[in-house]
Amino acid sequence: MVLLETRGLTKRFGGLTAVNAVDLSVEPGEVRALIGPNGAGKSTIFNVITGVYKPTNGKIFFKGEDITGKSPNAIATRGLVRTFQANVLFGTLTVFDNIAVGSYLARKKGFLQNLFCTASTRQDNNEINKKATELMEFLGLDHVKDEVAMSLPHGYQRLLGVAVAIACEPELLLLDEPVTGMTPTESDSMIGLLMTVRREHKVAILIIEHNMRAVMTIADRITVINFGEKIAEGLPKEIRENPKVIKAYLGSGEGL
Amino acid sequence: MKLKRLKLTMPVLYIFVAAIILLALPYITGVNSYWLRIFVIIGINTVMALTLRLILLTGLMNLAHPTFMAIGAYFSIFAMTRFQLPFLVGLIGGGLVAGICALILSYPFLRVKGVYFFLITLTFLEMFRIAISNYWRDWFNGADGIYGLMAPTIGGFQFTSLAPFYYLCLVVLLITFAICWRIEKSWSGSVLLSIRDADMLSRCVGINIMSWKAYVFVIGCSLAGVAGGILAFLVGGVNPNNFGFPYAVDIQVFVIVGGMGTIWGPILGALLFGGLGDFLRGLGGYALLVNGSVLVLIILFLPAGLIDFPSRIRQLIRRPAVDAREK
Repeated sequence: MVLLETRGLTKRFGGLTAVNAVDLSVEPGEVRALIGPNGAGKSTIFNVITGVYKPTNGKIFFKGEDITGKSPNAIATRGLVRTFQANVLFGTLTVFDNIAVGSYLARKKGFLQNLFCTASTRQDNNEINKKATELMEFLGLDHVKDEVAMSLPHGYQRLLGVAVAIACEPELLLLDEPVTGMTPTESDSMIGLLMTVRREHKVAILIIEHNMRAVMTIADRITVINFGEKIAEGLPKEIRENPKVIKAYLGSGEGL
Repeated sequence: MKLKRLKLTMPVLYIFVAAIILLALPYITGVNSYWLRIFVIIGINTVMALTLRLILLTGLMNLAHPTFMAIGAYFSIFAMTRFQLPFLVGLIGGGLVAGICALILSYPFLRVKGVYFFLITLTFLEMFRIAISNYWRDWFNGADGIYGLMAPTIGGFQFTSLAPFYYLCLVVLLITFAICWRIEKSWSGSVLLSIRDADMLSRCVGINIMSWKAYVFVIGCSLAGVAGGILAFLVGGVNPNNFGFPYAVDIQVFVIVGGMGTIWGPILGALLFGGLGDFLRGLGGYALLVNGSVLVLIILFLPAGLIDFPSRIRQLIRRPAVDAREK
């Protein structure tokens, strides 16, 4: 069964076609990388898949269900959770609270139950506490547990962004440039963590990344996007040798 | 050992003392005194400030808060004078009607955020005030308002002094406080703050932000409606200008000057500023000058509100000591 499938996905902003008829499919448990030059439309694809934008054309299926045009929260509750390219976090909340809000999905309880049921709330709090602590230990965030997210250094903020998404216990994780602006050491440890998450939680990952070393290490298959269109798809090795991809990244050399 | 036990019981002691003061207040000030009236008004203002802050947790500054108070006030008046319903039914009904209005209005209002929400609620505030000042005169009696209400009764018990108003207001205040406290101290509080910090991320982790905002908006506005009902019968009547822009600003001031960071901020703000106008009455026209200066000073030197005062003082005391040690 295919986990995520887009058919002829198109997004136009006025006269600009940001994404043009992209067919993409992610298998369960697979790590798929989405690469392409700046402005190729990768982030727009993420935004359309997660419901932040409505697609102009085309369909999106998740676990066989049509999720085209559904709201971001409805899509997230189905097990498709994303991170953002910029450091989007709950800035004034502590690291612990960020992760606690992330695990909101796992609770399946509403505002009113929380308001009136003291016992179940206490139980919830214990559960959240345990889960969040485990996750923070695993990601090495436990020593900044009570720091406000806004005041964290960049590397930790990227990590926390991923932590919030993992706390939702997704089936498909969409990561938008998770190792951007990190030092090589930080980036290696992040990739290591993602591999572990993938193994232990059996989660499929769709990743946008410019760091080719990271992409080549983690991805099972790679899809290349340029000017909103899919230009290549395949194993890392094939992509590295694909002339179209090399041309998109380096230019053809004609006219020099 | 003894000291330890004393420390443990300190919060209980505080609560006990506070409870006694709150319960005995009418008999300290006198059951019909001017001061007791001010305390009831402070209580009403505190309910307004607490509920305003509850909505503010999601990042929405509701300028139309007095309008929902007005809806509750007018409903409770109509319930008594037109439909001959008991006072308590009118009071609770006023809260419910205000809540229903908030629920209906939450659909258009909560689609926008930030300054746009501020503007849309400002517009609604003025629209409502102007509408009831000019139309449906046989119901609202225009800008003159409705006065000369009879003292209410609850189950045969007549409100002959201010004391019953005080206790009624205290009950409503405690319920409001309990609700706000409960929401803030459970994980709901973090969810509300997460919507304020990054609403798109909240949605992407599966939070239906529209319904969460609607919950606090409806709860906040219903309690404002109940507060309006108490105000109407305390004063013996209301007019549309009670619920205009100046009062909307007053509530914001209670919250901001008291401090938005904790639940105690708005309480402190309402306690000090809710009665400040009355405390300074002796100064006549200069009262506004003093009021404004105090405001500016607080905002300049205590940006986190009055509630931050003790920790600021501690900081100022500690700083020279640290400097000396470094030298």
